[in-house]
Amino acid sequence: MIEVNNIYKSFGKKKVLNGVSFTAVKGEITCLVGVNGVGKTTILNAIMNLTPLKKGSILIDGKPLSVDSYNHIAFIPDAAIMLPNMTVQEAMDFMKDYYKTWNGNRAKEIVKFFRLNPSDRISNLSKGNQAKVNLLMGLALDVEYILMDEPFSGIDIFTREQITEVFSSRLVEDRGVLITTHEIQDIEHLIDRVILLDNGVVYKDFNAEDMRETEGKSVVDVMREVYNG
Amino acid sequence: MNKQYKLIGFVAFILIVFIGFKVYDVSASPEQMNLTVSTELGEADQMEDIQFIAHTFNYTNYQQSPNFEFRDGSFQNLNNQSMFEAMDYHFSPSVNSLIDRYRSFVRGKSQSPNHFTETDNHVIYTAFMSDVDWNVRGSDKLLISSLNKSTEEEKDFEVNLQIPDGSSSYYYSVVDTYVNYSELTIIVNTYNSTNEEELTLIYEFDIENPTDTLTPVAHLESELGQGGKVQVSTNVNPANRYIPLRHLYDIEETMYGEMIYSSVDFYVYDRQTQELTAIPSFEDSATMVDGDDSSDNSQSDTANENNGTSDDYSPDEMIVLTENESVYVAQNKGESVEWYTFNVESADLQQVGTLDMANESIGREFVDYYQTTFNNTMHVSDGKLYASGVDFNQEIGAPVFQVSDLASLEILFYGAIQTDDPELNEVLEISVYEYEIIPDGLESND
Amino acid sequence: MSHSVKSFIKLTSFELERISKVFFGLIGFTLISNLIGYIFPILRFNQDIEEYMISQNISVEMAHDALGPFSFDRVLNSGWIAFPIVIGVTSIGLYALFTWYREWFGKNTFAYRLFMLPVPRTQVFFSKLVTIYIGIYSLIAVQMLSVFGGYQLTNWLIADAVMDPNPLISLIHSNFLFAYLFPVDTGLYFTINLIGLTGILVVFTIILLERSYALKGFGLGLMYAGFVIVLGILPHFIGEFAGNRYLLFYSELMIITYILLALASIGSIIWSRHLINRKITI
Repeated sequence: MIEVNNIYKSFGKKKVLNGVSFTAVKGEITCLVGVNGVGKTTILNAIMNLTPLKKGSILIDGKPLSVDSYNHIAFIPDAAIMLPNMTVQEAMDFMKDYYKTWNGNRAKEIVKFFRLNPSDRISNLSKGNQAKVNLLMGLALDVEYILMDEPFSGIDIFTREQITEVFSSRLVEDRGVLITTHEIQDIEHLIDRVILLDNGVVYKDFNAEDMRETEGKSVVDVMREVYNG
Repeated sequence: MNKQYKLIGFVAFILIVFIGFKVYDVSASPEQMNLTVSTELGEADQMEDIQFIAHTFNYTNYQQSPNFEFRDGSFQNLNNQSMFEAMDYHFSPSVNSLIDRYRSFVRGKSQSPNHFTETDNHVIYTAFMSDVDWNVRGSDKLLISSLNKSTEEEKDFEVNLQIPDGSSSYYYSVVDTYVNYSELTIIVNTYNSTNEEELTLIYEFDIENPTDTLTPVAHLESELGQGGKVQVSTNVNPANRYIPLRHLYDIEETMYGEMIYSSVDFYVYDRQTQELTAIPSFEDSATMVDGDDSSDNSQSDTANENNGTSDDYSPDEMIVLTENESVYVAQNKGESVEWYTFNVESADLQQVGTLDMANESIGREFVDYYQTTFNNTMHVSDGKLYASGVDFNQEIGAPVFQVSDLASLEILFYGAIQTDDPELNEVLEISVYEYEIIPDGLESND
Repeated sequence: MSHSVKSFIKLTSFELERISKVFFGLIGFTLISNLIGYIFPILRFNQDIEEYMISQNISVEMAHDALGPFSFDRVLNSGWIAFPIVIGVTSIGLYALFTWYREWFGKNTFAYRLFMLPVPRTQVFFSKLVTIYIGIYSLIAVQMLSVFGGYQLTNWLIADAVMDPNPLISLIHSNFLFAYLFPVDTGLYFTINLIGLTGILVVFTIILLERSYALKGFGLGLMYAGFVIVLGILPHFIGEFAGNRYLLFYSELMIITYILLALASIGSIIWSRHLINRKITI
């Protein structure tokens, strides 16, 4: 379980996170939603120890963040993060070199699924294919948790469909997925939990299916209520 | 491991080249050379009271140019010092010896050899504040310290010096200090860069009865008159009663700004009576015995008429040295010197005899107008005359030393400083610096 | 080999791979510039001899006697040797900045990947430091080899009779630049390398401060650099402040300087470690 406990973060004088707490568990897709600038990416960065927090703590399966955390959790940012002059194969080799959790067979499977050419240079790939490479680097790791930041941002509709397929595949099965996205409608039916952020705090934390069953509202309906109302 | 081939390659390349370079450095570097005292006459142990720094320069191999310290009759290659020894090494054997023996006393004191005077029981330090603190240049504050060698008791004083009325000076330096504990005779040179006035002042200070301000007991320029410049003899024995002085006058400035003199007189200053006595010229001396009347030696005035012209420098005709209560005067005749004793009370010269000199210049270097001291290469200690010079008979001049007995006028030692490799001697220039005579009993630092 | 040593070697190898083209470029530039430097003075010397022979109507031997021998020192002191050294030093200095900033400002933000590797982040720090040193020492090693090659070349092109008899090692020992670059004087080499190491570590600390606290961090970094410079030279001004420049013996002064520089280096590493683990922002 990823436990985010009462975290605070400011950029200069602007308070972005003002006591955010939530959990994300294995076997569930948890979606962080909120308007631009509400601090979704900051939360993911903080979980990965890529930005310092003013206050609060984050635990992964009850343990504070450490070097070993990167063997249990993978982060897929919204932009390419491998060196542009690397080929897809070189990028996979790089990952294999450092991560004992790298699963070569699964990597091959994903390459095939996304129809990527291992000999292509990352810099020559389209934005959609770069996003696929990003997913490849995260999903091919045998880790318990996967964080995804805006996986559909700026992606064409066909690629988006392919990526959406991932969420219902065994690639994320049994794993805890924490995702931030604006385009929730594409994966709404796959989401287990929703954490709605507003004004630096968790405004609402609910089970998407319960919401549909008990109140007959979709996640998008709830978001409309919060952000429009 | 294949992916690391570049890293392995770079690291291996660096290691191999650096190790190779070091091996080459060690194997190609010239063998360590040694300097020796090559005796031509007498016994080399006569050199034991002499100390100096020998700087070598090999024209065919710059790297083979180490410095040596000659002390206690043997050479020490200064290249063999450890890194930190070399850092603290001072290019004066006597100061070095003091640092070795009395490090805490020397700490904070100017490390100039003429600021320290060592006697059997004490080390005396006399220097100006400006010698240790460049920010107070022009300060007339004199620092005096005394260390009792057996009790290690240190006494420190700060005294102000008065300079004669009407004079103002910017630069102060201690030329030499004579000691009959607890009384000090301090010779001070002052210089005013505006009017170029230079003063040689003598002060007395008693360590047991210190005063805050010292008034000069002698102002040599004013006493000698005729303007000019006063030079003070270097000295071996700080207890000597008489201080030889050299007075240059009839000064002219050449078109190149060089100061030349055409007259030179010698005096001795008596520390007991605080009086100056002129040394008569050899011609004027009435009591001169067996003088060589037929010689073409002219008196000192004319002997130096040509001094100051660039290629016609010649040493003085007269040599004046002192030891304890004695004043020795010699007439320079090149290959020999006529030796006299001088009676200060009667101002008479008494001829002793002729001392052969190993070559025509040894011990008698030319001392120009700008120097503060003279007798830098000739000294008397324990009744022996020490002279150093250069033997120009070889292609590359070699430093030579002569030790003579002043009573018998016999040469006790004559020899040169050379390497033990005859081939090397042909390309190696050896220069002697910081030449000093350390009387028996003072040099021990073990 | 332990896992962490393996990962450190992999990281360093990776860093080296990324910059090796620049290193090879500098090595090539050094060799070409040196080669020109070896040949040019020899041609000029031979030309001077020839012109002198013609103008004075004398033999080669007499012209050699008149103009003196050819010293390889003339080659070593030429700009063709000094210039690539200056370029090398400048490039390595810039690389110390580039090695960090490219991770953020490159086409892709590789810093994400670097800092999410399951290896201690200090390994990233030290791999960058070691890569810089590999660059420095490779260039020095190439310069060493080049000098030996150049000396042989000169020996071939200049007749023995007119070659200055000073052996190469003697000329290297007496050369100003090589005294700093080559390990000919242990004390000096130690001092130069300690100052260099402290300098690079301080630059790394400034960069990490800037990456952690933005402009405020850069200001703080500059203050830190000023502090380290003051720390390094302070012992040499103790005499000035105390009004006595003989207060410390030179060895004591240098030992204090070494200790302070070592403390500044260790301090920089500890601070950088804290920043890279706890404060850095991607």
